[in-house]
Amino acid sequence: MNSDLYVVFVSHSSHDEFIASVIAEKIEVLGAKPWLDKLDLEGGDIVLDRIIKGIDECREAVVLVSPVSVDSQWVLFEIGAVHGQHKRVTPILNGVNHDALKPLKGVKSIELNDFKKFLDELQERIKKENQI
Amino acid sequence: MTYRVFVSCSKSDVDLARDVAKGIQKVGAEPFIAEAGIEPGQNWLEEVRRILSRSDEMVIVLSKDSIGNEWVNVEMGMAFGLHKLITPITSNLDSGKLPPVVRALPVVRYYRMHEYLRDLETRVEKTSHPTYSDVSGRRGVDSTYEMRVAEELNSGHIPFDRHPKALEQFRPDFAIPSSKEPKFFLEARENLTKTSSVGWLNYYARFIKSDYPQVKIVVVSQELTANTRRLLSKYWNYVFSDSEMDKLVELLKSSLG
Repeated sequence: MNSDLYVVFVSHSSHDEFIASVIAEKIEVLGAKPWLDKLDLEGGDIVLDRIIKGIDECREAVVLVSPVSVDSQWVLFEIGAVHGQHKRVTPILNGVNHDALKPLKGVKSIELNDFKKFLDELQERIKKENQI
Repeated sequence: MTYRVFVSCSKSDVDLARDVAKGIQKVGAEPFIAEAGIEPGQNWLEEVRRILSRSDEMVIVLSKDSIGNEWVNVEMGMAFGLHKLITPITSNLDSGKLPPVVRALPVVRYYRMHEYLRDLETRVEKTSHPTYSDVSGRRGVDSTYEMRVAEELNSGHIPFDRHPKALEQFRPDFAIPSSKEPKFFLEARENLTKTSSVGWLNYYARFIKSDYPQVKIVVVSQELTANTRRLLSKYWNYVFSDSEMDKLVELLKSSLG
């Protein structure tokens, strides 16, 4: 893994593929490397090896939370996994109330419409990283 | 060394969890029952992470009352992020209707808990040794010599175990618990004077190295020639003759602490 790159893990369900690709693009523009992980929740088979690899290698993660993904309980699992590694994880809510993530009170989530703000903060973090 | 198992359950399944915990205790591990979301304070995530990171593996008790429990899902996720082995134990659940997260894990039915406990016992036994050095050989081949080497190591207070699975298959598949690799892999052979037998061993060494690059591999033999020693040294980290057994003991002792 190239340690120079700030890797952002972008988890989403196949229903949110377009939004995820836009998010990835915006992250890339900031000089970070987006690591897209599409979950085919209908297909059923979740490839744990692939997911843990993405989580292991990222510096931080964003998890797209939509009504579909929140029902699968998958997002809770994944947010927990990133959190378990002491890494920043930001749930991005799209048509879902934060209450749906009630065990994650301490985790700061954002609305999709506020994504610009997240990008500004991300840029700051990348800058900081590059200064070291 | 205590082998700790984090037992996660929701409030409705505490009795089931206690039952599982009893079984865990019986095989020599220490269970810790965590009722998911019982005090969902601000520090709940931190607290769970702290306990989980000290645990060796996780068991998660699931019934129809708890399958949708959000806290349980987050706990499972944390264990996953921490690279812990996770075993869901399900009670009265249709395995076809499990959520994708659970289905992705190796599910054990409650009435077959003994199967999980049997595997757990193997993992506990492995970690109860202070070291993870292994003595292996082709089954039956040179087993007398192997035993003698083992006794030598034991008298030097070096515990070892012989992986029952080692070399049962052509490709060496010595059973390493998921979270812990042995530091050394030891091959004991009575006679290594023929280049043909060395070739086979070197072939085998490459497989071990590709699967477990961190493991130091050692070959010890009663009889070596200058030539076979040279050939073996290309692939094995250490080559010892029988007369150098004290060196081997010294090496293992200093590396294993």
